[in-house]
Amino acid sequence: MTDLLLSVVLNGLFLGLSLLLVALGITLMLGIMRIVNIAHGEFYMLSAMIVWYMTASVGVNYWLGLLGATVIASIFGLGLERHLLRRYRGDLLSGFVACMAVIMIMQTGASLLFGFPPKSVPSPFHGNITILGTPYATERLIVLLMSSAIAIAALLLVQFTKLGRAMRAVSQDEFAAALQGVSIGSICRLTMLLGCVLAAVAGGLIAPIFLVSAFMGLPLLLKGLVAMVIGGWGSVEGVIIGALFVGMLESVLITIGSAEIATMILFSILIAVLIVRPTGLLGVEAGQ
Amino acid sequence: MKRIVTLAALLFLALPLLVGACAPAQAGEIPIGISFPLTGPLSAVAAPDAKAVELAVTKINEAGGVRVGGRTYKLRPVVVDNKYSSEGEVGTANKLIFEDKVKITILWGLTLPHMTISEPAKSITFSGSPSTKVYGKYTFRILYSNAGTGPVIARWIKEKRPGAKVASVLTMEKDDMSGRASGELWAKTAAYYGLKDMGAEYLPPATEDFYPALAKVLPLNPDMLMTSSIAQYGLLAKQARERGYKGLIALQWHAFPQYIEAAGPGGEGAISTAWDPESELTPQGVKDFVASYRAAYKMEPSTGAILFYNGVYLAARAMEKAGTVEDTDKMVKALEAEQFDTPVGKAWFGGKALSEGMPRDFTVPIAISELKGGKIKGLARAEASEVAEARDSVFGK
Repeated sequence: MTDLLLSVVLNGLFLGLSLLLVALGITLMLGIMRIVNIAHGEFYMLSAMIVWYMTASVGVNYWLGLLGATVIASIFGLGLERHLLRRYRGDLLSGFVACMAVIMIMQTGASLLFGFPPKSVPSPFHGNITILGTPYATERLIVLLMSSAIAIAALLLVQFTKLGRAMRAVSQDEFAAALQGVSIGSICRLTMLLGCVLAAVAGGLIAPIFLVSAFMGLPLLLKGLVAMVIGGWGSVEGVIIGALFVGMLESVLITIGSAEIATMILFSILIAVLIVRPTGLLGVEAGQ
Repeated sequence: MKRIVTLAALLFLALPLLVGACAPAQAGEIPIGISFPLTGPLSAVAAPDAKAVELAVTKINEAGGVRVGGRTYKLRPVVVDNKYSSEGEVGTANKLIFEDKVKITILWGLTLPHMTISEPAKSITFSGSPSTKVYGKYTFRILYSNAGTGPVIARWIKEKRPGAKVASVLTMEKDDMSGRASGELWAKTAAYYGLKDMGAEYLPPATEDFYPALAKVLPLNPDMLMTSSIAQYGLLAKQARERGYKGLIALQWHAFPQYIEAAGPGGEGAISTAWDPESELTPQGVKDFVASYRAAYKMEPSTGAILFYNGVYLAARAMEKAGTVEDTDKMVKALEAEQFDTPVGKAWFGGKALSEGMPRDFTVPIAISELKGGKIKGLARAEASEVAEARDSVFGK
């Protein structure tokens, strides 16, 4: 029984923290850039694909591959912000449709460029570690710890740095922030960069654990949206709670029921939150 | 005048059809249908197997072709892309059967939609479906099914496998038609061979995170996990080992290259029915195929490609034994009654109990191999007669 409980908890943390890195990016973009970037999951996918290509095809060391993937995904993201997303700041519907198009282009492009079949990335970690008598994969533990560290770093950045203060100012009142000398354009670009780095790192870390395919981004994006809605629109603290909640809930429901039951209950909770508390646990009014 | 002009116009439009109907096929040629998903998500897996079929056609032609009724014929491949969709299957079946006059088609795709055209048209289909539920009067499966592989593996495990004995088995399969069918066949097989069947865990086909399912099943301590051989289940092997599972992992099929890659070191020791091209247990025909494929295409054939290659030889031999290249009823009779020398070995169709009294289960030598250092290592070989005996013992004759 202890083994089962520990497995469920560890798995829940793993799922939640993996999700958090992507969900954080979406939250920051919504709060600061006023864009629901539903194409964000494709940066996760793009990074995973590049890591695969660089490690399995070119033969580069995994960590260099991860670095390269993060850089490439970030450049791509900055280009997307500059030439497309910037036009739709504040226009949620047009931004949503534009992002849908980006999703289709990126998924199809990745399929054509890298091929349709799912791929495996050789893992830099092997074996398992025993935690209270329960064996657990070393690589999952590393991902868990790295994701935690990165999420904490992002939180500290937003809360305690000058840049973070500027970001929060823009999210609270863009006009007032501009009057105070904050460059809105620069903040948006930096937000996009931060979001892409988070998604790319998540994709690169997950790549050796599961299979990499051109269609791996959207399911994670949907769960990221759920985490954001439950935790609170535009709230960094809220999305942390939301992501961990989603991860734990999934872990419990899949273990005692099935993946289908977990999906149904999760999205039912989403609807319930939208009805009862539309701003989520810690969020501000949607659109503010 | 108007009537004459109308008639002339109609004749003019009908002319291509008349020409097409009257135009004789090239003298001494037999068109062989090759229907594979050559584009789309499955193309990367299926297209290399289509190359194996084309290679077989080339080899047979180079060896002199097919001798029927005192005449020699060359095989002419007619390759179509069925896109692994119902519409694609129906469209390509219509083209192959009614335009190209194909009497035998080698098919990797959705057999049931194809059969809606081929069965009424009495055109023979050699299907790559492993499901025992796919059969028809003119439809034969040319891949071995789990009705053959399961009993062979179970018998080997009970009687010949060195090391710790396996007493209990738990099945983990994808929750779709083929996964459920595999699970049901295995349950009967396990019961027959006295293996304690600990039940089956069916998971959504796209599952990649098996930790929750493993948290449920590993405490039951099964001696063996019987699983699917698709890429995702390579992750199952990897994750089971990460969770400390030390028992045997077996696949009721050949291990696909994607499975081996996904499993990584976790796949070490996994049992499957893939042929080891370097093993002395492997038939020479299989070795020759692998060598030819490598030379022709500069890549490794998939572990299942040999069976599609084999299918073309089967088609050629069936026509020779039936003494006709046109009469598919005679070909069906020959396929049901005769044994055939194929590259994999002596083979025939059996398993009447599985297909309403029609022998449609391809009975062919089966390998038992294990993964060692990421490569397939041959352990044993069951001849077709042993496969038939094992299958019929479990499922009836």
